[in-house]
Parts: sequence; C-alpha cells; structure tokens
Amino acid sequence: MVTIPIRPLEKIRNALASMPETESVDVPFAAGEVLMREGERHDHISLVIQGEIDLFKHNAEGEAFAVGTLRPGQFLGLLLLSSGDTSFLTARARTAGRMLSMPRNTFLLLLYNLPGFNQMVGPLLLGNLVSRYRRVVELHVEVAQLSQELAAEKRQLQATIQQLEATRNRLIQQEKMATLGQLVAGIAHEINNPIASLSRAADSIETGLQKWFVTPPRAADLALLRQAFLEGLNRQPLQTEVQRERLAQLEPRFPDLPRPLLRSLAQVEPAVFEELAYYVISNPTVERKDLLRRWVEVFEVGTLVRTIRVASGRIGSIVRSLKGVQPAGQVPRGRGGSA
Amino acid sequence: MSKIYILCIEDEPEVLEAVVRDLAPFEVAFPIESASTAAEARRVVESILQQGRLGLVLCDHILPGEDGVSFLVSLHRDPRTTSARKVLLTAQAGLADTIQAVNQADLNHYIAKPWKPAELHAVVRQQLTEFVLQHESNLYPYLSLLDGERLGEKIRQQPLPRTNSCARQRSFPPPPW
Repeated sequence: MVTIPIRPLEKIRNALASMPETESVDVPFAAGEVLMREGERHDHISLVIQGEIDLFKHNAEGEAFAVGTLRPGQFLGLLLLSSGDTSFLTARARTAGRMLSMPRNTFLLLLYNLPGFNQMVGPLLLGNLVSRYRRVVELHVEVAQLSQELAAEKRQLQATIQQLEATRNRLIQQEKMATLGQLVAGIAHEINNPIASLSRAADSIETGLQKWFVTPPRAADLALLRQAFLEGLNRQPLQTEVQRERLAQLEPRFPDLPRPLLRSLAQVEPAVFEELAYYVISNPTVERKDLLRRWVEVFEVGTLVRTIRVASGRIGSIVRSLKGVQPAGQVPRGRGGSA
Repeated sequence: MSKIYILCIEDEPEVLEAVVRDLAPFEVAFPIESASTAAEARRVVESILQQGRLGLVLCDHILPGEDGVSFLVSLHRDPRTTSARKVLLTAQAGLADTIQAVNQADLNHYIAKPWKPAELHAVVRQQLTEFVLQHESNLYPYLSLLDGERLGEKIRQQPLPRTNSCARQRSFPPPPW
C-alpha cells in the first residue's frame, strides 16, 4: 500500500488550499458519518488528510461488504473521476478526520491544464491507483485461495456425506435385522405353543388307542363310548379357577379315585357327569367301574382331537397373517410369478 | 408330613392340559395345581400354603399381565416359597429375561416348547428329588417315583431310627460261642 508521509501531504493540502481556482474546502467528518452513498450522485473528489474511511459495496440483497479503507493521502470519489456516474461504493468514516474536497469538474480541468496542479496531484493519483490495483490483485489471490479451500472442504464434505450415508444404510440394515429377529422370535412363540399342543395330543391319542387294541370295548358299550367321544370333542376348556372348584367338589365325593381321573371328570358337563356317576354308584360292579374308566379315556381322546383342530387352526391363522405382510409389489406365487 | 405341590402356570388351555397330563404320574405323591395368569397363581400359592408346601413351579414366560420370570422372582423373594424348585417352560424368553430368571429367581431349569415328555419327566423328577432331599426327612414314600439311587444313598447316610425292636436286639444275651 502506498502511504504518503503527513508532512508532504500537509504541504500539498496547504498548496491546494492556497490556490483559489481549485475551489477546495476543508471538510471535517465525525466517526460513523456517511460521506458517500452507493447509487447516489457525488460530484466532489476529496483528498483524505486525517482519519480513516471504510468503503462498502452492497449486493443485490442489500447486504453490505467491506471492500477497503481509505487513509490519509488517498482520494474519495476517485472511481467517479472520469465517468461521473452515480457512486459505486458507500463511504463511512471509521474515525473522525478531515479531507480536502473540490468539485470533480474543477479537479479534472486543473489536472489537464495546470502543470503545477498535475505535478502535485499526479503522483498521489498514481499512488492511489497502484495501491488499489495491488489490493485488487491481493483480493484475487485471496479469492483463489478461498476457492481452493472451499473445493477441498466440499470434497471433504462429500466424503463425510458418503460415510454418513453408508453408516445410515448399515444402521438401517441392522435395525431391519433386529426387527426381523424380534419378528421371528414372536412367530416362534406363536407357533411353538400350538405345535406343543399338537405333538402332545398326538402322543396321548396314540397311548389311548393302544389300550383299545389290548382290551377292545364290548359292542354293547360302544354307543355310550361314542357319546363320551362327542362330549370330549365339543367340550370347551374350563377356566382354571372353575376347574379347581369342580375338582375340590369331586375329591371328597370320590376319595378313592386318583386326582388325574378326577381332573378329567371335572371337565365333563355336570349333568352328563351326574348321570354317569349315578350309573356307576347305583350298581358299582367291576364292569361298570371299568366302563367309567373307559368313558373317561374316550372323552379325553375327544378333547385331544378338538385340541388338534384348535392348534392347527391357530397355525393356519398365523400363516395367513404372515402372507398378509409380504412386501408391497411382490407377486404371490401362483399368480403370475415364477414358481 | 405336609403335601408337596406342583404348580403349573400357562395361559394356553390346551398347552396347560398337555403339561398337567404329562405330569400325571407324579400326582400320586405330588398334587398338581394350575393357573393361567401370575395373579391367579398367587392366589393358588396362598391356598397351597394353607395345606402344604410348594415343591415345584413350572411356568410359561409370556403370560397376560405379569410375565412368568417376574412371578418367579417374586416367589423367590417370599421366604415361604423361596425353596420351591423353579422351571421355565416357554416358547420364547429373551436372553435378558432368562438371565434375570437365573440371577434373581434362582431358576433351576429351562425347557423350550415344544418339549419331549421324557425330557419333562426327567427334569421334574430331578427337581423334585432335589426338593425332597433338602426338605424331607422321610424319603421312603418317594423312592419309586423319584431318583431312587440318590434317595437311597441319602437314606443309607441317615442314622438308624431308635425303635423298640433295636433296643430289644441290644438286650439280647451274647451268643454262647
């Protein structure tokens, strides 16, 4: 930056002020005072003698950007010297100071026609222009450096975004797997219960039927045993509390019967049970007691067949529900999709 | 000698019936009670404690309302039921639930559904054997039903009862030779 020592500047100021044809006047200014406004006419050129003046340029949105500072020895209004257009910049005093101001036309007239004026002002003008050009070059370099840094930051940002995207995808995948795991565990629970029922019912039916092959029932008892089967088949499971209550009533009435048999009898419809109990108690022969035992066995087979129906129905419901949650757009097999 | 009860807790009626049916052979010595929720099970436990002791609890984990592990933890904290053997019989219990059951309920065994009857019998037999070994002085009634070998070993270690016949035996005169 070109700076003019105060003493020569003061000499120039005094020389210019002493020339009446320059029409120059001292203009003091206060800190914060706006000395030139962008877009407005400004017909004077001023030589800063003391103080500092900030220059601003506004963008299309009206936002102000600092573009430089005028110091003693520099001219305010230099850009308007030849064109006479409206002001390109806004000037606001950073500190209090003063400047020597003269009409732009007078300044030009004297510059071209008065050799003494030219000798005094010429070097100052040249110094101003060189200073501003250097500043422009420096700004270009700064802009180039900033552009490079910006490009590097942009690349880094892109890399970070890619990493974030990859991490996000990984997390989504993990979340999907975790959800799938919970879903599978839930399905396992829902299916394992009916499977347990099915498996145990099948084993128990086999055990029950094996007894029939060892000791087949009498033909005369088949009607009664068929009734037992249907009773079991159509029986609804009792709530545990009701079952406990019935068991508690049966135990003192039949202290000789084992608890598992009493538990089965507790499941029988009370009216049917009483009829059965009367049939045995009224004439407690060995045959009738044996028939009671068989009746309960067949009743149990009926309940087991019902259990198989309930359990297989439950598994069917689960499978139907699972078919309902297949991904959107997927074509079910057998409806145009490849098998 | 008060009765030793088995308590089964399962919310699916068909599964509960299957468990109780599989455990029927044990009922000659261990009455079986059942419940479908933890709340009902608590009432049953109170009823059991009026007539006897709780020896074994077979509990599902996923139940309506309070879950099975939480119920087992509360049983373990109750001094009247802390000694009961605890088995989880479940189709699904996550790792965290199972760890909680082991650490806080002193869970003795875990059986996954669907179970094999032989496995269930073996586990129940072993757990009831442990219970009677720890809490029963007269082991003879359980010899044929439970682990006879272990019970027999314990019986052999027990001092012979001082009966009148023994006293008489000692008072016999020495043999002539």
